[in-house]
Amino acid sequence: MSNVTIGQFFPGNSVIHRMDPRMKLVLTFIYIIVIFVCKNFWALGVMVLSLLLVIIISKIPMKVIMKSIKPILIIIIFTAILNIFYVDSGEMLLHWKFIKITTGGINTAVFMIVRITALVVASSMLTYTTSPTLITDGIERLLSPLKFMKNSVHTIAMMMTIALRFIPTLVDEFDKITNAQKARGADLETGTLIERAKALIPVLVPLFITSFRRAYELAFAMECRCYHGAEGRTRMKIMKYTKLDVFGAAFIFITTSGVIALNILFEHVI
Amino acid sequence: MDKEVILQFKDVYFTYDEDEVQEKSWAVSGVSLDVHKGDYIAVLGHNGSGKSTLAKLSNAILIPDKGEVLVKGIKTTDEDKTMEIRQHVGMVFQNPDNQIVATVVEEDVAFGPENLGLAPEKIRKRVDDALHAVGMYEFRDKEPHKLSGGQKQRVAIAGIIAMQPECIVLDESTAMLDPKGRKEVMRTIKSLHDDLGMAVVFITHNMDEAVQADKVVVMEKGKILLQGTPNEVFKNVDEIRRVGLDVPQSKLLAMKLGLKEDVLTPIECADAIINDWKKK
Repeated sequence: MSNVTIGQFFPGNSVIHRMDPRMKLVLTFIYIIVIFVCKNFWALGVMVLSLLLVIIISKIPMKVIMKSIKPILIIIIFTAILNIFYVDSGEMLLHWKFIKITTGGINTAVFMIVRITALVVASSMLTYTTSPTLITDGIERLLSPLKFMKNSVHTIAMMMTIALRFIPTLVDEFDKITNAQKARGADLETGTLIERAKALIPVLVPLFITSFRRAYELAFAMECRCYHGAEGRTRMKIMKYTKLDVFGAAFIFITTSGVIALNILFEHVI
Repeated sequence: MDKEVILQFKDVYFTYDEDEVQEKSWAVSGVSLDVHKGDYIAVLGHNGSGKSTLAKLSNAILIPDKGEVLVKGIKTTDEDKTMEIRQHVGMVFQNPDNQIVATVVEEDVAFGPENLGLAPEKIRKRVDDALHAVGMYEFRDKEPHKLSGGQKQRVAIAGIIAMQPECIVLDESTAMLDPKGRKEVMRTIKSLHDDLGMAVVFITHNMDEAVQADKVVVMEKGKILLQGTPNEVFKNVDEIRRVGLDVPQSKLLAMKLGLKEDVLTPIECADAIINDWKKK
């Protein structure tokens, strides 16, 4: 199990990958807000086009992108259906007993599908092109100017780093314990869902106990390496904004201005 | 003039029992030991002999109940200087998995120097030097969980030497490794001692690893039972066996054959046998 990849990072060396994680975090955040500012299909179209451009530049295969939409497919369909029946505006297309379908409804449904998909794909693009370590680092550095919460930001970032670091170790451990319990005759694969969940208890208890022992030892080792929180701590890697980040920011700025202009020029759908 | 003393135990007592301390329950009782600059000391003892406790006393993880521990003249009880003490005396533990903090090798090695608050360029240099010293430089951007046990332990050692300590304490750091990993780590430790002039305190219960040291200390029930050069110590076969330890096999063979020479490693043993043969 030594080839577990942490998170959904998709290694690469594209322009998007090389951008500063802080800038990517901020731009993704802005992008998500702008998606909600869009009021008509023209504006939304600009957002989708810019997202497609980013995907193409990052060289992330479409198949991988599709994977990120899969878990929320049900939510998308549900929202769409709800909107079709609920929104009552524009021309009536179908009226049968209590079911009413209007052009307004269909427009809203399509709009919602595109909006949610773009939202999910945009945030996935951040995690696809930035390693989890860099994301935590980026968050820590973005928030560190806030003096009053500097310590808690550092603590949370450190906790995330350690959690990421220990995922593969614990997966290994889980495997080992599972095998050890199987060797003792434990049946983990058959039975109803509840039975299988119950069978997991003898695996989870030792896993928890060893995790605590590990945490204890790790704390010792960290103390031995002079760890004493955020105070007086420096970092080896300095994050620097480059030309790429300026281009990125300019790109999002242009997209946003476009969206606002199109919102004013054309009739609102929502 | 004697070499500078880096780590000094002065009649140290320690117990894990919080309440009324009795004579028997001392984990470490009355240990006095000096570690000089550039020493290579192996501490031997079976489980519960107090050797790991001794290690933890050396860099203020534990504080002695009686007596004192001095690191370059600083008492470990001095709380303001704990960081300085830990910088001088680095410690490597048994399980490499539980010592590595970061998800990338070089970032883990940088962890110590980052805590010391050094400038980024300085950290970079120390990390590169440390990784070169343990021969893991080409793995600097790998993920630790994809390395072998021996490699992980070498990364852990690099993490310590990046703080540039004058003494490194290894608490059974080879115990969880396979023979190949052990060899890698032993070679690394030897080069730290020989090339960087670092004082090494090596805690183990493996005899064949102990013979590499310049000085061997055998512990039993929290006390120092024997100490001296490996040759002096391993002559006391009966005593060593009594406390549940083994004598290196080559030493044993040489003694059974009645060879007069000091023999510790298999090669020395073979040489001694050949010399003996020639004499006859």
